[in-house]
Amino acid sequence: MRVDRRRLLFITLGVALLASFFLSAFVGRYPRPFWMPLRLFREDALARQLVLALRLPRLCLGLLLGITLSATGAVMQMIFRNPLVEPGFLGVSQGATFGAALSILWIGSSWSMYGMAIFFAMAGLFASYFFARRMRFGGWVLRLVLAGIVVSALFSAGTGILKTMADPLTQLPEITFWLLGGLWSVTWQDVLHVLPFAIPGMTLVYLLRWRLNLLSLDDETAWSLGAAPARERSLLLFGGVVATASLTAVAGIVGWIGLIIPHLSRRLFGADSRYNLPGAMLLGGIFTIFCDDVARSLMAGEIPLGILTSLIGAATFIALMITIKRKQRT
Amino acid sequence: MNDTALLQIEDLFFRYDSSQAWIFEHLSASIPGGEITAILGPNGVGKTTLLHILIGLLPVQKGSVRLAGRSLESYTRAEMSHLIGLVPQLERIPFSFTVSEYVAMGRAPHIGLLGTPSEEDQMRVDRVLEILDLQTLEQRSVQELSGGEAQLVRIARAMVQEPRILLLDEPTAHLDLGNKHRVLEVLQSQLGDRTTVIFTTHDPDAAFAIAGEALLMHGSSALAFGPVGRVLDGDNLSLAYGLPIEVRRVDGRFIVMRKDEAS
Repeated sequence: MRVDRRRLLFITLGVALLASFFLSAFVGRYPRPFWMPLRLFREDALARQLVLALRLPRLCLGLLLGITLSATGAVMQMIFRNPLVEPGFLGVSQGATFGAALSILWIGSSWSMYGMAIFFAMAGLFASYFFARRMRFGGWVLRLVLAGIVVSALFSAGTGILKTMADPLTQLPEITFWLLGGLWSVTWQDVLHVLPFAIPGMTLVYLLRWRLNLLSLDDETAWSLGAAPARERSLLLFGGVVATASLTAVAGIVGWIGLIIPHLSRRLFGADSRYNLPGAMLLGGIFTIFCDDVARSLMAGEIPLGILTSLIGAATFIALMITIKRKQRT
Repeated sequence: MNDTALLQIEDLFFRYDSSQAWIFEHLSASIPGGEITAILGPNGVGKTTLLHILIGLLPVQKGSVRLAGRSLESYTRAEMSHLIGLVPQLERIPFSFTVSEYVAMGRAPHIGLLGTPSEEDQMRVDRVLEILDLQTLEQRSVQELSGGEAQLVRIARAMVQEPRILLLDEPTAHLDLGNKHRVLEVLQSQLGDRTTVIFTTHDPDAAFAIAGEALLMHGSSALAFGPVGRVLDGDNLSLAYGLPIEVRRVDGRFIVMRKDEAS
């Protein structure tokens, strides 16, 4: 019975994702707010151009972004054995931001932006982990979150300094808009640049999804079951962080997806990440595409995606936390 | 007897830090296959440390440990996980897996890095849950279990692993009398004949109840190793626990009690 329910859920989410992807190609501000009649796609060359060259790459990137943030959030929650972590809490997003800003300021090529984003995202994660290990008080969960906040603050201060040094006419607007998080300038080229990082990273995470359960157990238990906990955890984190950093380099900081979606998925599919990880990927894709639809169609000007995900994500999180059944609290 | 020993520990030394004293030194024991062996000793004597060495989590620093005739270090991680299972004293499980999902993790050595449990794995899980009379808990969250249920579920997880040797760290600690006996009975009747069981305990009664052999640890070395009845006598126990203890035999059972100072 439970198996049937799970299958039904997966099919529903899969169909919802496909539908939201294709329907969203017709959502926007052209020719009028919210909806472009399908007829126009055949008749209007400008409409066709808009869909194929602007909206489709944007949708692909939104899909990748949602999948990556959700899956990486799920991986981090399992590995750090802490349901309250997400890439943005552990210095990963802020690190990637700092690296990308550094690259905008001094180097400028888009490949260097990915490289710098990935490098500093890793540095942020390691620094958070390292400080959490060294901290002298509090439990592991608290220390990790505190260390993450500290490292994120250091990196955002660093980004702030870079902003004061940026050219106010060209570089500063680029950095600022990009910091708000959004997908408005995405091209097919961006999608191509992200793919070599995101696809291998996410494939790795997906393939190791059942193993992830084992890695959430105590070290001695995981070890006795044949796992090499430290090595396997690092491998999974590496996959997730590389993918996240590459997407952050394009989309800026898009918060809360990595926290809220794994929670939601755990609610639907249970604690076994064999199911809740693919579930989180599907949900993350749907949620991000939906938020980006709202971002580009609600008002004449774009609403930055990061602001929307924070708004919706934080509100949902509070609702989930308040209504959570006692037995499910972790 | 040394020839038939499944696990041969010889002159083993261990310390966590080279600046510190040895936790144990000159530790030797030859643990026979197919039997139940109890490792006894007061708290902090290195029982858990010894188990961690046996599963390869901690290194053999000095001395040797041979498993089925080969040195412990020569086994790969995959081989080890088929040979030795572990039920730790406490396990913090941060997510609310169902009992069935949790027990299935015990199949990991048979599944591999990229796999997921098959129908057959699930059948083995179901069978073990049935043997231990835990079917009713199958869909319950592991975070909601009572102490006794949690211990049996951990044992179930180790049973589906199907190791040749099962190590248990204080399997009866913190359990009430009923659960203690249930756990001991499971170890004896479900595992005893097929699996070599090694468990640590600070409770001599548990050793008398099911173990054939006992290793009594004291200070930084083994005080005695051999058949339970011989190792766990009044003198040895008194020395190990620093308390005058006598062991009396009543109706064929051993009773451990504090020696009355007056008598």
